[in-house]
Amino acid sequence: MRGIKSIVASVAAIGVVLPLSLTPAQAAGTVTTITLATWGSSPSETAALNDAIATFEARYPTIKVQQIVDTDHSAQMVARFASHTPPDVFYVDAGVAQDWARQGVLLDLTPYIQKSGFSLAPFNKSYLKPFEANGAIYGLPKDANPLVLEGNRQLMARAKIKTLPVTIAQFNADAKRLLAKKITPMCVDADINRLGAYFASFGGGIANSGGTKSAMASKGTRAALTWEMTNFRTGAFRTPAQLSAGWAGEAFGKGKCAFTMEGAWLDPFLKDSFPSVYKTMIKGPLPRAKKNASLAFTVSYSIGAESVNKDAAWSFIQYMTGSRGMTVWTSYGVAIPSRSDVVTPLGYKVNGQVAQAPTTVTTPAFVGWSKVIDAFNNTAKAQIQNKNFKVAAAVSAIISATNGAWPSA
Amino acid sequence: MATYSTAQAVPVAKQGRNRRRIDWREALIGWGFISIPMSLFLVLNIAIFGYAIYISLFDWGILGSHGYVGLKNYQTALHDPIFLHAIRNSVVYAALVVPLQTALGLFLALLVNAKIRGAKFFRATFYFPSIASSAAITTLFIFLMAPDGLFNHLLTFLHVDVSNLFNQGAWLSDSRTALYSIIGLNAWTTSGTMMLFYLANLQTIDNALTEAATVDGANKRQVFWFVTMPLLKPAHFFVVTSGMIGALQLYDQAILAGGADGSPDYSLMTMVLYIYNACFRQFAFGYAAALGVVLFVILFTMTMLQRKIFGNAAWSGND
Amino acid sequence: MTSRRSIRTQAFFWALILYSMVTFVPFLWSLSTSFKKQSEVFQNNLIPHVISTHGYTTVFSKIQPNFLTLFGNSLFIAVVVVIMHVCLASLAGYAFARLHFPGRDFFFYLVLATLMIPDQLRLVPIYQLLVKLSLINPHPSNYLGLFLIKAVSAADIFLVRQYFLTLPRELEDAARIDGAGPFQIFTRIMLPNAMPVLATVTILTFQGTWNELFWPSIILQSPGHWTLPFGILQFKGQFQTDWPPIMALVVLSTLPVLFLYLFSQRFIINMQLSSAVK
Repeated sequence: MRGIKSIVASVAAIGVVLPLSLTPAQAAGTVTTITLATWGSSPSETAALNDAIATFEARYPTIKVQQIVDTDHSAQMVARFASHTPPDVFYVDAGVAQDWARQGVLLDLTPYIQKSGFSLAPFNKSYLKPFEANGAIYGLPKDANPLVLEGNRQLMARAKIKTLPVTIAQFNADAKRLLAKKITPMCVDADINRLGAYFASFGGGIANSGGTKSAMASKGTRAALTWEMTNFRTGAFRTPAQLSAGWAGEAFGKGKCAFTMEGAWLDPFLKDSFPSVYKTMIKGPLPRAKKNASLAFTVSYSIGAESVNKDAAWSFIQYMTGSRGMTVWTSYGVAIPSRSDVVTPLGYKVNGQVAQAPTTVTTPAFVGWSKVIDAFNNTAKAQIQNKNFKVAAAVSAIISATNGAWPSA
Repeated sequence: MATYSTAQAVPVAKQGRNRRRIDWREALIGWGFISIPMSLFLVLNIAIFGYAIYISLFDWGILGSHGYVGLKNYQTALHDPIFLHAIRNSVVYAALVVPLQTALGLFLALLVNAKIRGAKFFRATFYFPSIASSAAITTLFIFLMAPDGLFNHLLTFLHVDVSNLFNQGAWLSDSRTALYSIIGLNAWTTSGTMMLFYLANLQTIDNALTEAATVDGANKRQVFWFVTMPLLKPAHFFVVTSGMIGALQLYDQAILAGGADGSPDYSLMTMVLYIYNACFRQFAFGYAAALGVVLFVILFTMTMLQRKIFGNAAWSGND
Repeated sequence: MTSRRSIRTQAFFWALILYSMVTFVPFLWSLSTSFKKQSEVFQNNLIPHVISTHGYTTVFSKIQPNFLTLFGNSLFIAVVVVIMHVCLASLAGYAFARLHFPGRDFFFYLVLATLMIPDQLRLVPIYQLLVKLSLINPHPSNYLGLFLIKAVSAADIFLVRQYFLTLPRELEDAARIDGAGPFQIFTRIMLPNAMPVLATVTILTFQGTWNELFWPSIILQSPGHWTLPFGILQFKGQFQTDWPPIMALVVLSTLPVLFLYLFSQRFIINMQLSSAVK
C-alpha cells in the first residue's frame, strides 16, 4: 500500500514539475480532459465560448475541454457538490459566490495565482469583489456587463429629442415631451438589479461601502426611489409586463418605449429579432443625479474544492480570464471585458466606458442576498400595480421590506 | 387451487372486517406482485423522506451538517411569513383547481362517451390542451394574457374597458389576479387528462345497469346521479386525491409566470417553489427538509380527509 | 323535427365545435411560429407574412448532437419506461385491489405517501445515490440511473388499482368457481378487461416521459444520450430565444404523442367487459 502511495506521489510530483520544465509539445503524451459546466445561452454566446475554448485547446494541446450545459445550473451544481463530484471549472454568478464560498465548495485560487504570477491588477476591483472572502479569491470574473441607457432614435425624434438625456433633469424633461406624444419614455422592471443602478447617483446605495450593511434607508437611496416611483406613477417608467413584453429589451424592440437600460446582451437580441430598431439605437451612460453611476453584473470561472484536475483547470481559467482568452470571448459582443487591458469591441464603446468607470459597481455580495432581491422585487411590483398609488408610501414600503429581509448578521 | 374457496366472491371490504384466516398462497402472490415497486419506493422515496426528517433537525448545508438545531427549523417555518403565504396560495389554488378540473374532466368524458354526433372528433380535440408540455403551454399563456394579448382584445371586443380595470389588464403581473389566471390555465390544461381517467372507468360500467334503471322509469338525470356517479366512486377518489396532491405541489407554471421569487407580492409563491428556493438559492437543506415535512403532513391529512369524505366504496371498491 | 329540443342540441353541438377550436390555439400558435422568421416572432399575426423554413432547417442542421439521435433516445427511453410502468402498475394495482395479504393497506398508504414528497427535495439525495452506484457517467449504463428513478409510478399503481375496483366482481366469480387461482384470474380476466386503463397509463407515461426534462437533465451526462427537450434548451438563452426552431421542435415532438393518443383510442372506448376464462 505504502509502495503504491509513494509511486503515486512521485508521479504527481513529476506532473507538477514537468509542465514547468518541458514545452507543451513534449508532454503531449498525456492529455487531460477537464469538464466545464455552464448554463445554456444564446447562439451568439455559444459561438463565442466555443471559439474561445478552441483557441485555448490549440495553445494547450495537453488539455481538452468537455462542456456540460446545465438546464438548472444552481441545482445541478449543488447536487454535484453534495456528491463530492464537482466539474473542474464552472460558472459562478456573482450573486451566489459568497454563499458557495461559505459552504466550502469553492477552491481558493490564491496559491495558483501566486505560483503562476498571474496579475490581478488589470481587473476592475468591483468585479473581483463578489468572489473575494476573508482574503481568499474563489473565482475570476470572466467578463462584466454594466447597465447603460439605450435610446430608440425614431421615437425620440417624434418628440423632437436629438440626444440621450445626460442628467436626471434632462430625462424628466424628455419624459414629459414623450408622454405628451403618448410614447412611453422608459421600460424598466421594478427590480433591484435595475432600479438599484441610480441609488449611488443620488448619493445612496443598496449596501454600504463594505457591501454588507444595508444603505436602503439612506437619504440618497430614498431620493432615488422617490424619483423612480414618481416615474412609475406618471407613466415615465413602465415595467415590461405593463407593456406586454417578457423583458425590457423586447418592449424596446417592439418600439413600445423610447429608452431602456440594459447591458450588452441587448445587442445580439435586437440584431436578430428587431433589426430595424437595432440599426437606429443609440447608447449612453445612465442619466445622473449627482454623479455618474451604474450597476454591473459579472460571472466568474471557478474551480471546486473537490475538483479532480485542478492544475489543468487553473490553466484554463488563467487563459480565459487573461487578455488573450478574454479578447476572443468578448469579441463577439456578448459582454464587456472585465480587464482594462482588453479592448472593448467596436459598437460596445459606451458599455466599455461605463464598465471601466469607478462608480460602476456590482450588486452587493453576501450570504442571503437572494432573499433581499426577492423582498425588494415583490414589494416594488406590488406597490406600482395600483394605478393611483402613493409615492411616499410605496418608497417606505420598499425600504422596510428590503431591510426586513437583510441578514441580521 | 382447491384451497381457493368461493367465499372470496364476497367483497373485499367486508372480508377485511371479518378478519378471515390468511390464505398464505394468495398472500405470497400479493407480496410478489408489489415487491418490485415497494422496494424501489423504499429506496427512492421512503428512505429519502426518512433522511429528510433527519436532516430537518440540523443546520444542514451543501456538504453536510453545521450542527444539531432540534426543532428550530420547524419553528422558523411556522413563523416564516413567506412560507405561510405560500401555504395559503397553494391551498387556494388546490381548493379551486381540483373541483374545476374534476368537473370539467367528468363532463367531457361523459360527452365523448355518449353517442353524440362527432364524439370521435371531440375525443381527440378535448385532449389537445393536455398534450403540450407545461413549459410550452405556459409560455403561450403568458403571451395570450399580456395587457395587449388576445384575451384583452377579446374583452375589448365584448365592450370591456380593459385600461380601466382594477388591474389594467395585467392578469399575470398583478398580485390580485396572477394566481387565479394560473388556476384558469391549469383547470383547462388538465381537463383532458382528467377526461381520460374518467373515460377508462366509464367503460367498466355495465350498460345493463343504466338501461335497467331507465326501464324502471328513471330519467337521464336520475340515472346519472344515482347509478353512474356511485359506480364511479373509485375513479372520483383517484381523480380528486391525485389531483389535489399534484395541485398542492404546483411549481412549473408558478416559476415560469412569476419567476423564482413568485412575484408580485409573493402571489405566485407556492410551497414547492419555496422549498426549491430554500434548497437551491439559499442552500439551507435542513430548512428545506423541514418545509418538505410540513408539506407532507398537509398532504397526508388532506388525503385521509378525502378517504373519509368519499367513503369506503372509493377505497375498497363497490360493495 | 324542429322541436325546441333539437335546436338546443344543435346549439350545444356548435358550442362544442367552438370549444374544440379553442383547444387548437396552442398548437396552431406553435405551428405558425415555427414557420416565421425570428424578426416576425413578436408580431401578433397568426399567418406569417413570409413563410420561412428557418426553424426546421435549424432543427435539422444545428441541433446537438442531431435531431435523429435525440428523437431515437426519447423514443427508447419512453418505450422502456412505458413497458415498466404498464407491467408494474398492473401487477401492483391488481394486488392492491383484489388480493388479500397482511399489510396490504399499510403498503398502499406508503404508495400514496410517495406521491407527497416533491422531486425538488429528492433531487440531491437521489443524485448522491446514483453517484454512489456509479450510474452518473457518460456511458450507456447512465440510462440505468434514469430507468431506476422512472421505473415505477405511484400514480399509475393508484390509477390501475382504482380501475380494478370498479370492475364488477361477477367477472371473476365464474373463473373462481372453475377453480382459477389469483394468477390465472389476473392474466385471463383482469388484464383483458384492463385495456382502457392500460391504454391510459401508456399515453400518460409516454407523454410525460417524452416531455420530461427534470430528471433526464440531472442524470444524463453525455450529449449522445440526450432527449428532445434538451434540443429546446439549445435555442433558449436568458435574454435571447430563437423561437422558430423551438416551435418547430415542439411541433415535431408533439406529433408522435398525438398519433399515439389517436391510435390508443380504440382500446379505451367501447370495450366489452369479458369474463371468458378460456
